[in-house]
Amino acid sequence: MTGRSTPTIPARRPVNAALLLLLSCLTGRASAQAPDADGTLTMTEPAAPTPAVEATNTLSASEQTELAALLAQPATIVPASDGPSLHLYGFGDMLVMKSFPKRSIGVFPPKSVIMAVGNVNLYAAADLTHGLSSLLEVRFTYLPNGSIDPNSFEPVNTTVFDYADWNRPTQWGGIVLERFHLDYSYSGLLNLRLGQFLTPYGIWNVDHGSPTVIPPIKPYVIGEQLLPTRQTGFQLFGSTLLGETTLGYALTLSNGRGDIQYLDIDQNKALGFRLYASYGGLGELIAGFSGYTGISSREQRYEIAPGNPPTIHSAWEDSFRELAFGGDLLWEWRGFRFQAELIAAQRKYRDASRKLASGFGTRAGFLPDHVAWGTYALVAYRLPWFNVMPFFVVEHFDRGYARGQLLVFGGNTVNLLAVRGGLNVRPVPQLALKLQYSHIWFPGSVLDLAAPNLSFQAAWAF
Amino acid sequence: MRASRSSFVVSIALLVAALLGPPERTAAAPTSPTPLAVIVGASSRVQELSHALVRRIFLGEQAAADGVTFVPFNYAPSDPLRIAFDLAALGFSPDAAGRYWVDRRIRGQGLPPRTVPSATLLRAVIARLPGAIGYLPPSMLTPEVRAVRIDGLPHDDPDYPLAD
Repeated sequence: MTGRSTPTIPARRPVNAALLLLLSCLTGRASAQAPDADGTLTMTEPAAPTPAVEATNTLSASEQTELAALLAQPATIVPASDGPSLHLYGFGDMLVMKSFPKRSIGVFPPKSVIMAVGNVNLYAAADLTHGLSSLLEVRFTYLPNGSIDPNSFEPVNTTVFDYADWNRPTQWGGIVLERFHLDYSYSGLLNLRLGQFLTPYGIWNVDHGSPTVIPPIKPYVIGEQLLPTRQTGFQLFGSTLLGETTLGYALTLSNGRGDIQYLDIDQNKALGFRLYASYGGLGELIAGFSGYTGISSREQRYEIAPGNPPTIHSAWEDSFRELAFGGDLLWEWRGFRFQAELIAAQRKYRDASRKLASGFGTRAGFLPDHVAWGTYALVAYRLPWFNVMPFFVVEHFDRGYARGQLLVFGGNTVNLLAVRGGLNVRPVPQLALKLQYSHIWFPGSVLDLAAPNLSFQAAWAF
Repeated sequence: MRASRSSFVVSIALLVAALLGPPERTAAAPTSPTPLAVIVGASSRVQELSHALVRRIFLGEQAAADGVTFVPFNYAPSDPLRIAFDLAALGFSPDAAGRYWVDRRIRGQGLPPRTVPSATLLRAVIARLPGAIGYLPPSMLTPEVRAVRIDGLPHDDPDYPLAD
């Protein structure tokens, strides 16, 4: 068992205590009362008051009142007539970044110091009734303002005149629906999730929140979404404990990858899985294996064929069958942390729907079938002083085609090798301060865009 | 260019300030840390749990044994009983426990167990609510609650996982 021999207990600083008080206010409840282990869905009513016993006699008047409230509303369950219990919380971050490129193409990589609010994510979690819960996560973003239109490569400007402020110019932003799902918990081994969810693969994709992940920037292979970041559909998941080992699984059925989350334009559902084992005998050791397969299509245009009645044909900009696998390993022991992921994905295009390469530094042409793969490994250690965690990351990504070329836009980028190192400091659990130096190489690229990069991020949960 | 450098210097200074800020004061732990006993209601069918299952329950995972789905109750993070339990049962310092629950919420894996302000209140809840589970000092055991064996060991065994 870890930490049992630690002889000192850190005293709480006032700010820490205040934040913890806030946290406890936000989360001051227990997990939802679940069905019986045999699966019987029975609402457990509060036990009938028992005759006064010694313990009850020792309760103060306020404790008696609180006890009555607890028993009337055990755990997080509230009567359906009273509506769901809603908890709002979230996280956000600010990034300061400076690149030192030898050369750049236009604005890539940027030479100036960038200061940006990167993520503002708001959660709304609710227990609806017995075994039912809901989770919403949305990200507020400046986008699409300032971005590049993927079709025209023109900058996007969302400036409008604000009627509420004498028609002065203002810019509107967007909302990204990160996830929204309903969970039904039948037992620890059997849970059903429906809606839009984060794809249950690896470590980073579920951690995803800037206060939770250690470096300020996600590994390239995660950002490339060899497995889709999120899907819309159904997920079965659960876990069970065998000795000191937890075995868990997740199965997914969804619309699959695509630009339109609420359509399945190729009428082909995607399937996925995750299996993992977690051993608690030596810190926490988790090994997982995930897979995903489906057809991904992007619809671009409709063609109306004359006739009686006229028929409508749709053509895909690109369409491919994909098969992806990922393995992950996480070991946390005392302050030490090692995590690594290896992901590979095969894409086979339909001949009539091959994607046209686009971007700078690339040869024109249609993309070939290919296997892309990438990996990263992170080593870190949480020091006993000030909760400082030095970390080191190495990562590699191979697009699987056009080695030596550089594709900037259009969803495809380059083959690269990167090393990163820095510090992650969590002075209080709700705040992470990160400083990172990184260097990225683009092996074989005709354009030498190797760029050292220094970045600082403040990420906090609220 | 000068402005860019200034901005970056400010950013680095913020991190350095965090690193060099006032250290957390450390209070010496009691020379003999509070022994604890995991308890269920006296009428519960649960007699014994594994340490791994106790960890699972208090780490927020759904868990069941002997036909009982557990509903854990805890103390406030700053409560000495909570600090002792987190260290002995979960291997968490107070900061590590705080990080665990913040990270877990961001992952969308759920919220921490409900907290109660005192051991007497926790004992009263455990006694009356089917499936409820908690912990308290053995000196506070009464007939309405029962200490469960962990890994086959009774709470008064020196090797009981929460005995020190």
